[in-house]
Amino acid sequence: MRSLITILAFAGKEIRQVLRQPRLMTALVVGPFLILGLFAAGFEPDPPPPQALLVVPEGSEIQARAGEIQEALSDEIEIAGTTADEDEARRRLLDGDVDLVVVAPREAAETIRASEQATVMVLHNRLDPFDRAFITVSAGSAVDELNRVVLSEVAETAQAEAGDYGEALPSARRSVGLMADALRRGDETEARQAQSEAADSLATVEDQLGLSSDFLQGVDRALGAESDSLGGEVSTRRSEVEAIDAADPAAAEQAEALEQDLAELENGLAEFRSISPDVLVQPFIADTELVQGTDIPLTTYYSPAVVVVLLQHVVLTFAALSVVSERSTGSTELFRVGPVRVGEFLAGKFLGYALLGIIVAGLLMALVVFVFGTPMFGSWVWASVILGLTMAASLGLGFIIAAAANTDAQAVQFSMLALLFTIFFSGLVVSLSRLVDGVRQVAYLAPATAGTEGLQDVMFRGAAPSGVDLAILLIYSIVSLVLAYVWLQRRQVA
Amino acid sequence: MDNAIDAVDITKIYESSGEGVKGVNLAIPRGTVLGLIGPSGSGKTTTVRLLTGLLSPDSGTVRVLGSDPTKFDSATRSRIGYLPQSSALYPALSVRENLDFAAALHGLRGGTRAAAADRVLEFVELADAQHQRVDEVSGGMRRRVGLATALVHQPELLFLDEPTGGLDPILRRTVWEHLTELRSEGRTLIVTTQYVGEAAYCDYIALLSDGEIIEFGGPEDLRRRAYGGELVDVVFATRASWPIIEQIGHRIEAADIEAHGPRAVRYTVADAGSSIPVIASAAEEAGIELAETERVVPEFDDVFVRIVDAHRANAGARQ
Repeated sequence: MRSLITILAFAGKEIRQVLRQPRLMTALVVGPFLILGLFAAGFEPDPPPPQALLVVPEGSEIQARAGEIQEALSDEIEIAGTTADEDEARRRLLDGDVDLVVVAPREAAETIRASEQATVMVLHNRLDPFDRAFITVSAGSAVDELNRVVLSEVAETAQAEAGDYGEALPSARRSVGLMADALRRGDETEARQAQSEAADSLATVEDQLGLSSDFLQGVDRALGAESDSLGGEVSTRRSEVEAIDAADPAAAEQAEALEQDLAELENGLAEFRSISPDVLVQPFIADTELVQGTDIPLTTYYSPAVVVVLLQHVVLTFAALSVVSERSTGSTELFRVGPVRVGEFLAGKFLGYALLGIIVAGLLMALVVFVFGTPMFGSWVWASVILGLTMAASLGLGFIIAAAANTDAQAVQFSMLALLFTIFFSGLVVSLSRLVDGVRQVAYLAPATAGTEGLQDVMFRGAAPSGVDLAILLIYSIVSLVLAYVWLQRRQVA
Repeated sequence: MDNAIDAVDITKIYESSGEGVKGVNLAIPRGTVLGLIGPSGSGKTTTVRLLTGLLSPDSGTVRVLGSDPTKFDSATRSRIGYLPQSSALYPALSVRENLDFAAALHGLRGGTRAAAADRVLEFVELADAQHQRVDEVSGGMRRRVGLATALVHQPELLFLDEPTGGLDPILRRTVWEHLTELRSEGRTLIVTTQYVGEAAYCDYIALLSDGEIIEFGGPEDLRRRAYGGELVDVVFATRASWPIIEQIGHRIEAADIEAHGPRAVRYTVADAGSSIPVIASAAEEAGIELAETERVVPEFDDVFVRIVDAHRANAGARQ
C-alpha cells in the first residue's frame, strides 16, 4: 500500500509541476509544432518550372522555332526569352534574372549526321544539391521532350510517305485479281500481262515505303509481337507475284491467295497511318498506383512523423530533466534516507509522464487530423497502441539519459542530441530506404523510427502497425526501463 | 535505554579530495540535541551522511536507532526525518503540496496526511502561507517548509543539516525555538551549524575541525575545557601589586591569572560562584579595595577559536 501511495504521489507531483510551468509546455510542444507548421505551410512541394533563357545561333532553325519549342517544354522549363549572345545570357543568370541558360548546340545537324549526339548545355547558379538535382531532372526532361518533338516529326513524315503509295497497292491487288481471273479462264497472255503490272505496282509501293514502316515494326517487337517490316512484306509479296508460273495449274489459286494477302497489307498500312506520331515515338507512358492506402499529399505525409517525433521529444526531455533535477536539488538524498525505492521512484515518474504524454499525443493527433486534415484510415485503437509504445520507449530512453547526465545542462544536451538523431534517422527528413544497411538498423535507436512507421501504416494504409515495429517498441520499452532502473540504482537516486 | 546514535571510530575519506572524517566517536542519548559545529569543510555534513546511511564508513561501526544505517528497513527509515543542506523542495508546488508529497513518501494516506500537514504547518507557523508557491516565499520560510517536510511523518530522530544556514539572527532563534520544542517532545535531533553561538541550544556539542571531533560535551563543559575553568574578572579600586594579585589567586586556587590593565585582572577558577566571596575577603585582608568582581561567560565564538587554536598548536607540537 505504501508503494502505491508513493507511486501516485510521484505521478501527481510530476503532473502538477509540468502544468504549473506553461512556458515549458509551450516551448516543448507548441514551439516545435508551430515551426514545423510554418514550414509545411510555406513549403512548395511542386516548384514552378525554372525560367530559362535560350541561347540559339542567329538565323538558326531553332531560333525560328523558339515559340514551338517553348510550347513543347512548358511543363519542364519556362523559356523566358531567346538570345544569340551567350555572354549576356550568363550575366542575366548571375544577376538572378533567370534560373537557367539553355545553350542550343551549334551545327547540331552536322553533329548528328556525323553520328554523334549534339549536346544541349544547361547553365545554372544553384549550390543547393536538391536544387541542382531538380535542375538536372528538369533539363533532362526538357531534352527528352526535344528529342520527342524531333522524332515525332520524323514519324509524321514517315506516315505521310507511307500514304504516298496512293493507288499503287490497290492497283497491285486489282492486277493480281485480274491475273487470277485470266488464269481461271486459261488466258495465259492476259495473266502474264496482269502479273507484270502487279509486280510493277508492288515495286512502286516498296520504293515509296522505304524505312517509314519500321516504326510500327519496332513498336510490335517491343510489345513482344512478331512482325516483319511493311517494306519487307511488300517485297515478299512482289517476289511471290513474280514467282507465279502461269502455266502451273495451281497458279490461279496462288494468285487468289496473294490477292487476299495484299488486301490485308492494305489494311495494315491504313492502320499505321492512323496512329498518332506522338504515340509512335512515345508509345509508353508510366502510371503508378498505391496497392494499399491512398496517395497522400507531401504536406500531410509528414504528419505522423511530426506527431511521433514531438511526442518522443517531449516525454523524453521531461523524464530526463525531472530525474536530473531531483538529483541537483538534493531531493534524491531525501528519498534515500526515507523509505522510497528506485522502482517506486521510476514507476511514479513513468505514470506521471505517461499521463502527460497521453494528453500531448491526443492534442497533436486532434490537431493533425481535425485541423490540418491529415487522413486517418485506420483504427484509433491501433494509433493509441503505437503511440503508447513509442511513449513508453521514449520514457525509458529519457530515464537512461537522466542516469548518464550529471547536470541539467547535460540532460538538455543529451535530449537535443536524441532529437537531432531522430530528425535525421526516423524518416522525418529522409526515407529509411535511403539509408544503407547497418545504419538503417541503427535508426531504430530512436523510438520515433518504429513509431513513425507504425503510425503511417495506421493513418495512411488503414492497416495495423507491423508486428516488427510493435515488437521493436515493446522490447525497447522493457530493455530501456530495466537498464534505467539498474543504472539509477547504481547512481543511488533513491 | 539504548542511545539513539552510537558511532565508534568511524572514518570516511573521499578518494577524490582526500578529505572526510577520521575517528569519529558519538554516543547520543534519545531525547537530546547534538550540535555538530565547525567551519565549512570540517566534516559536519559527511558525519550526517554517515549517520543517515547515505555514505558507508571506510572503517568503524555506526548504529542508529539500533540498526546499521546502510541497511535500514522501510520501517526504520520512517522513524527518521532528514533536512538536507539544499532545500530539496519543489518550487512550482505550494507549501502544502510539498508537505503532502513528503508525507505520501512515508505512506501517510488521505485524511492522516492532511492532518499531519496541518499540524506541521501550525508548528512552523506557516499555516497562512500554505497555498503560496515555494518559489514565492522568502528564504526563511523555505527553510521552515524544509523543516516541516522533515517533520511531517513525526520522526523520532531528526537529522537537520544547517537548518539555520543563511537566515538572519531573528529567524535563527525562531528555528531553534522550534527545535527545542521538538526535543521537549522527546525527539532526538542531530543539527549541524556553522554558527558557533547556537551551541548554547544543544545538549551535546561535537566541535569538528579538519574532519575530526576536537571536543565533545555539553556547552558548559566546552567552556571550561577551553579556558581551563570558569572566569572571574576583578577590577581593583587602586593599583594592586602583582604579589597581592598572586596572593589572592593562591587563596582561590586559580589555575591562571591574566592581567587586563593596571587595575584589572582575570582569574581562571574551578568554580566562579564560590571563588568570588573568597576574592572579596582576600582583598580586604590585603587592604585593597575592589571596584568590581564578576563571573565572565565567554562567547562560544571565543570558546571555539580557543579550542581550535589549542588543537592546532598541539597537532603542530606532535608533528
